Amino acid sequence: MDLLRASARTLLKGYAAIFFAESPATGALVLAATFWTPGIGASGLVAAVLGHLVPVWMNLPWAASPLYVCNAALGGLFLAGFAGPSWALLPHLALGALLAVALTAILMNFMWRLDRLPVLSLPFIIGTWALMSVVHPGGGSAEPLMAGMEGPLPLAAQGFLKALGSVVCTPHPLPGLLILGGILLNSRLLALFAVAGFLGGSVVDGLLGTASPWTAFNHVLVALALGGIFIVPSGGSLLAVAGGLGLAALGAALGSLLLAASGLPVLAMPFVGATLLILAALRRRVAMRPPHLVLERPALPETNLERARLARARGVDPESVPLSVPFFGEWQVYQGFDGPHTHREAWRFALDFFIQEEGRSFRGGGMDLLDYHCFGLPVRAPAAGTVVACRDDLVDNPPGHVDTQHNWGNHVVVQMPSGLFVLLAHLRQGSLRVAVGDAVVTGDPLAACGSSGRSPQPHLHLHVQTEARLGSPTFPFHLAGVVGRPKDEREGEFHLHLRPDEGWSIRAGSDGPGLARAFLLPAQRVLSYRVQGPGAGSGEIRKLRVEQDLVGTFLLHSDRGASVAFERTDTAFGCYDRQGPRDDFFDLWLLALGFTPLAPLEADWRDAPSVRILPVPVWRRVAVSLFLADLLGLRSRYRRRRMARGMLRQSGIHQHPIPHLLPKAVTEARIHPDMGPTALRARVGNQRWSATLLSLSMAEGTPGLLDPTPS
Amino acid sequence: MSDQETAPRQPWQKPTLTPHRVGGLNKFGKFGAGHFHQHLDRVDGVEIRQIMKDHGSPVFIYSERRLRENIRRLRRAFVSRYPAVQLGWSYKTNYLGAVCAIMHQEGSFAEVVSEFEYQKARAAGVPGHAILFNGPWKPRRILEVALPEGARIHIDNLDELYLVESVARDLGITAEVAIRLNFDTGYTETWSRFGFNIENGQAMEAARRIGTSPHLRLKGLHSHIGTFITDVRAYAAEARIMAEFMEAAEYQTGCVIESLDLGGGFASRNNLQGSYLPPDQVVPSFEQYAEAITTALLEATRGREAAGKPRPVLILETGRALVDDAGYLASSVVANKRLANGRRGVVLDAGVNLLFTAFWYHHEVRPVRQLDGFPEDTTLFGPLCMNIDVVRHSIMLPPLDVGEPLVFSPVGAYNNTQWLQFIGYRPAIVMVGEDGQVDRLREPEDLESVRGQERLPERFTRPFAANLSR
Repeated sequence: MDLLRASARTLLKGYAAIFFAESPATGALVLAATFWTPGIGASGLVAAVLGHLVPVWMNLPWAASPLYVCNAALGGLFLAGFAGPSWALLPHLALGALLAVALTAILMNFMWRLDRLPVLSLPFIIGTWALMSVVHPGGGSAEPLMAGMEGPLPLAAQGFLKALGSVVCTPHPLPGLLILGGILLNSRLLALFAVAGFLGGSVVDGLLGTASPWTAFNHVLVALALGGIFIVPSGGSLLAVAGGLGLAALGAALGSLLLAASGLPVLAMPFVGATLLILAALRRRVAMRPPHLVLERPALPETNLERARLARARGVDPESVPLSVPFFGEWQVYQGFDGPHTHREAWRFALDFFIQEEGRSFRGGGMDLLDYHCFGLPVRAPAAGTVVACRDDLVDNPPGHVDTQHNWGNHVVVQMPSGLFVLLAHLRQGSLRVAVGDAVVTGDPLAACGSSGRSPQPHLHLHVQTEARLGSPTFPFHLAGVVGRPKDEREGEFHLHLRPDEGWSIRAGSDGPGLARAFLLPAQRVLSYRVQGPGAGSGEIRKLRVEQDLVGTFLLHSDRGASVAFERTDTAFGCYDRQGPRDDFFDLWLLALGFTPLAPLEADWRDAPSVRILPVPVWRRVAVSLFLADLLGLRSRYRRRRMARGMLRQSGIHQHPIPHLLPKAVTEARIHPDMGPTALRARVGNQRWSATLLSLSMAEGTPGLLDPTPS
Repeated sequence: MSDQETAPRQPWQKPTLTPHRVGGLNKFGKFGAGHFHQHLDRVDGVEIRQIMKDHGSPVFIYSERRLRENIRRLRRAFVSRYPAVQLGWSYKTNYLGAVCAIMHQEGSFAEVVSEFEYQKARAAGVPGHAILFNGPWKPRRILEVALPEGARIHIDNLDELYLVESVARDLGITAEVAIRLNFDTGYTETWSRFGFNIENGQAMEAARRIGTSPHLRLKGLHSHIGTFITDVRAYAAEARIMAEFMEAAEYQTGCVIESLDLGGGFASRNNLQGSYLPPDQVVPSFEQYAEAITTALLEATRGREAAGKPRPVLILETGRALVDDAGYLASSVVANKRLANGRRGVVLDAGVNLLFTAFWYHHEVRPVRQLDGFPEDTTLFGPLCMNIDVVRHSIMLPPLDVGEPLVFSPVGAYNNTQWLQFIGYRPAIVMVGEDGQVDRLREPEDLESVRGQERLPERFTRPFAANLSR
């Protein structure tokens, strides 16, 4: 029974995936829409069932991927639409489904390796063309069953709904309406993109003179894929959609021309071609600027937006190498990326550091190298790796002089496990503490800051390069777990990842033991809290449980079914991807602690958690989501200070960027350096909650693990 | 008259006047070089004469700018060489409220050694967790306050260990404590009267004893190898020995040590009596101390992070080297005299009651203006009616008029804590602020300061003037 239910789920998700949606409910509505012509719908379903069963039987990789069902179903629908449904078509349907499955399996692997590109409905197109060459078109037309139903709707709306319907070979407004409803159910943004794609496509068709009702659905699909599924929704993704619409229009015209002789329809080829072209082109960039591609983890636009917002708030950039601060104490950035002096062209991704005090980098006269604050200070390994080159025989230049014969001066090159190289340059003569071949760990002292090479005053140059050779092209990097202070600010803030500009003051976030033990949350750890407040009565006991899924992601589950993924690194504890039903206590826990630096103990920082975790009445939530205001994150500012006896108080103020739309929330967590968050208080509007940690334990039945609660 | 007539006649010579410039070259070289060849007329731009006019003589003068420069330089010397550094201001060096406030503003904890100092730090707004509590005697009543406030108790002896444990047990808390260690660095005299000795096993015994107690948790190690230490190798050895002990103690007791407190003892730029070379040549810079300590400590703790244990926080209790050269004592000449052995003596209005450190330093003594006249070996006496009241046994000084100011420096460390209300009143203390304003930090004492604390039993209050007139 469970198996059947799971299979049904996979089937429905496959149908939903045709429109890039994820919810089985959406799939059900799409499935219903296909039965507008029962024969076609049934043919699609037969192919879909095969598309689900064959990968399972054949033990194909990612058998649960909705792509198999999606491509097989589409093949069945269009084959029946093309030839007219009949029992005689069954063998063709079966063969078509097999072909779609095989092609999906092969292409998924191939396209991923090629450039992490998505398969889309490419298997369906190739398979269906193949099959169409052996069946005869029913009704003698390459454009099957195009009998449109005229209704009371305006023409544009009818055209749009028909276009939606024609994605599943059912070009009628009513099934189109069902599908629209299904999409809306899952993602408001997807629905918006669908409308925008249709309208934009009409404009493009009008400009190019390529209008054709049969290919209009390609525009809708292009807008869905490029607008928010594979690219984080943004101005840039809309530009990509515009480009994609143009390409799709061209593709449709060219396809019709080329395929006219064979009598085959272009199907979704314009959409697939345009989408892959745009994505492949964007992949050629070093993804430092928007639009950001999310080819590794495509998701609904809302999810992409939230992830991107959290990543931006926390400074994560997957295309950049994280490095630790290569010094002790606070230094200033002398020259940043794309700096005015030497950080140009191939060497644009580099940072220079020195120490300034009251605007001067030296005390006394500055005529002697020893007058310079940073001269002679230890330089540390910014990453673990192997020393592949180093020298320290060059003299340090007197202040104001440079040695252009040896631009980099004394230096150390460390090869990181990723294969990239990190260079530290202008080191002090005779200060090396490592040799070629040495393995170093992050933070090891390597040498001392000097002024050799092209260095008019003592400073430290840091960059990542792609080859071992000195002067190789540089690669983007950022500093991980730092406290950074912009030029004219008094207080620094903690940044998980930071790429500082010139004039910033930087120090390592870690200043001692930190809170590493407080947020040690192994799988099966259970945190029990006594909660008081609205919805919790007085003294309800709530449990949070840690689990780890198959790919290794840690999840925090509440006993009411909500969950959130979290990551704990050396520098921070961060939660993301909140799932499941509403749970006020869980959400307040997330609001108070969802992004917590582990060091330094006293810190200030910001985050942008989802508005959805703010416990407000349902009507407010609806109002907020009607205006799409839930797509913006909260503006959260955190501050952590020491209290007596080693305890820490972490307070947060959370506001929606649109004033007065939602009440302000204030959270306060007390963190014990060993036991973690022991107490929680929150106020949202005039409602108050409080919670105290009762115990830390391991889930019942966890073998061999002791209860960690200290007596 | 007759004598004059019988004396041999000498030919008359035209008189000449040759001014003797202090510090000028003559056939003996530079007279008094290094002591008063420069005069000192201002502190941070403010005229010392004016300060003496406004606040009296003698008067202690502090420089806020110098204090801040010193602590910032010390901090940077260490934090730019080691990941976790905490300074603790040594209250006994100078616990003037303003001086402490500056140190706390600059991020220093308070290092106290008595109930009084603990209370002073708390009253100044220092939270308990930012107080390092040292010293060989910590009464139960102050432990009962300090433990719940989270102060870091540095246990000195076994009796104190039992006392702290019993207080923690009675209060129902687990106290996080440190123990004070003593050991031979090979470069300094061992101060074995404080703390537990490492070599004879006492220290490990204490660590084990704490490890078995449910009320105590060993979190830190403390040591103070001595005072005015000018050999940085002593600190390198101290850091190494303490780190070794840390590893051993953790291995034997299962505790995790989070901080190593290396104490104080950095020398200031003062001239220690009996020192052959001037301080500029003997006293290491903060950077030299820092380089020695952090190099040794980084090396000794290299594998710790890989072993899943934090690098210990390095705590320093530097006092003298931070405040000494920020303090000046301006005094005035009250009398000149010629001693029986022919030496010249000068009596000043400030004696060892105010300048306690005169017992072990040759302070710099400088006039506030360019003085003319031939410098002569002079002894400077204080105003006390005590034979020991000598603030400088020998110094080359030109002739001085009564009322001439002389400025002693550096005097910021230990004088305003060890000075005595003895025979006379203690004078005003002022500070020159960063923008040149002069603030009074302590009022000069008067009769009421002394009488206020006294209680006269009723039977002594009968008038006795009549008895005296008899």
